Amino acid sequence: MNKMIKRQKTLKDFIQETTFLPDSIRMQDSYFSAYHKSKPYTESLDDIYKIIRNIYDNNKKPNELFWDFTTNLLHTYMELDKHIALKIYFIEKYIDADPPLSVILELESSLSPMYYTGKKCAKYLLDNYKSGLTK
Amino acid sequence: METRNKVFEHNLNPKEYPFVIRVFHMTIFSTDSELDLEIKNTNTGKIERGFIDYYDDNYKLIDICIKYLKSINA
Repeated sequence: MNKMIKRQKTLKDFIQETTFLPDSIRMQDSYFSAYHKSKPYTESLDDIYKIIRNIYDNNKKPNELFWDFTTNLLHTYMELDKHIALKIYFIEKYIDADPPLSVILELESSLSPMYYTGKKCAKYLLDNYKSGLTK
Repeated sequence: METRNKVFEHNLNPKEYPFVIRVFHMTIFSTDSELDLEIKNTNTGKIERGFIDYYDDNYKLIDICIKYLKSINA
């Protein structure tokens, strides 16, 4: 019987399941928050390729799903880079004019692929790297 | 993760939540990576305004993935 009674989810749950940040903690100066140079990736795409190649060459592949994980990781990385490039391109193109709605929609839709592949990466990590996630 | 994807797909009623979500259009007038949201709790009527920082979100995810790869490669 207890299994049939589900607790109603709350805003706190929503915050945990997303990265939603309430307005009260919004930073005052967020204009350059997206692509701030002080927070680049620690590794380039080439560096990640080399690590993956080394894992395969040394027979350290942990399981059969590892290939899926690395493919999704590389896609997530590249899609985010593509989105950033697209956004900067549109900012420069429409610096003195209102952009058409299609431009906004194109930008928003360019976010979707990385959330699809990113979700798969996160699922793999939760299944295979729980101890690492809590460190 | 399910909820986050639904938000980005502009699903207005995330599964299992008593919320209606309004996603404000992204701006191209700045480089910020915040997607503005408004969440209305349909039980209480309370409205919360906030944002999802999708760059920071993916930065952290990719950073953890790289740490995992390094731990295998060590």
